[in-house]
Amino acid sequence: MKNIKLLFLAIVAIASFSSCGDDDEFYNSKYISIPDLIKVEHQPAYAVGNVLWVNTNFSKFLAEPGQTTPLDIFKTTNGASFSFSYGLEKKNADNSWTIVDLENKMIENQGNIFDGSYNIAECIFNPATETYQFRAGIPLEQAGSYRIFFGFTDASRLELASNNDSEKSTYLNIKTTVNNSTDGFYYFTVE
Amino acid sequence: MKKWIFLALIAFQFSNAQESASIIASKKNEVKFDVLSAIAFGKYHVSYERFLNKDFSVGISGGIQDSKNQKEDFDKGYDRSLPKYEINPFVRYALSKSAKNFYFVEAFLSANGGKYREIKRFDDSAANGYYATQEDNYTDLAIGGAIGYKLYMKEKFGLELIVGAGKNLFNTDKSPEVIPHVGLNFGYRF
Repeated sequence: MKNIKLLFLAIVAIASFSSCGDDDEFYNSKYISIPDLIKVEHQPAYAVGNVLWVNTNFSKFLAEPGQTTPLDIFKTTNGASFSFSYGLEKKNADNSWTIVDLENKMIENQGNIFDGSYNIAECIFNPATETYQFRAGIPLEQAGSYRIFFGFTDASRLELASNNDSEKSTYLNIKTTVNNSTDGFYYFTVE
Repeated sequence: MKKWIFLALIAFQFSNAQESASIIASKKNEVKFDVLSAIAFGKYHVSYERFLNKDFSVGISGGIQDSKNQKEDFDKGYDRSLPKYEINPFVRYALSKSAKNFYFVEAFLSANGGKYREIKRFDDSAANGYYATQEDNYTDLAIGGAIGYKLYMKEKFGLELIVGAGKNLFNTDKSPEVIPHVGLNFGYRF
């Protein structure tokens, strides 16, 4: 009887293992890399009271490295918007960095911004221009050294992810870069 | 007196077991239905086993799979492949000598197939590219092994637990790399 129980446990274990075998991956996702899709509206100098703007304004047709035809990201995602994350950090006296909470402070101009310690930017498709547009500003309230980080963890995670309505359409993740950035950060000083 | 009664009972039990085992051994064929796969995986699996002698048996099993949950997971992209059928010839070796209940090991081949999906880049009529999912069919041949335990009741009804796995050999960019071989079979021996 004991042996039967052990065998039964082994069956349940293998059945569980086999039934979740493929689930670690998601097969409706496509990852591509296209640089320079996110822009910081760079100024040579910043002062208290200025606003630092971040924007996107990229076409639905993107030149995909290694391909001879432009990629229609609107058709690929069945019309989904795209999101990315970023946030603001301030340099401390000991050279460490502290995240600045921007909840209810961000200025939304185009697209949508969900603000907080990490801001989620949503780039909305404009049918008139056939571009994905987003623009939001960070009000600069205090002097100091700052940097903007992109992605949730590090610069390598900076990607535009499609917000699909249907799980059956293709999820597109575009790894991209930001202008004027160093190792994925945009550094600036507010006087 | 008690001692004699006890010995007589033991002797009776022994001869009864011997007789029962010999009745089972005289029946060379068995058909089985996998209850566990039907309930857990929506897989309908039947087997035929032919007993060659007290140690070896050979057989063939076949299954078709039609699980709504698995189809949904496949459509949503949680699974890359959707197994639909398998045909498994097998050979078994009994590890214990009792015909009434025994452990066995099994080696099997599995001709299996189903659907798989992959994301491909297409060009539309305006010469713009886009990515979309393409579904197609796969077939493959797996080799594998299993262990199991078999128990007979009333010399004709068999209950069998089996656990193992097989590895697909030829088409694993489309087929699942590993196929489970797990079952709780209810059989009739004749």
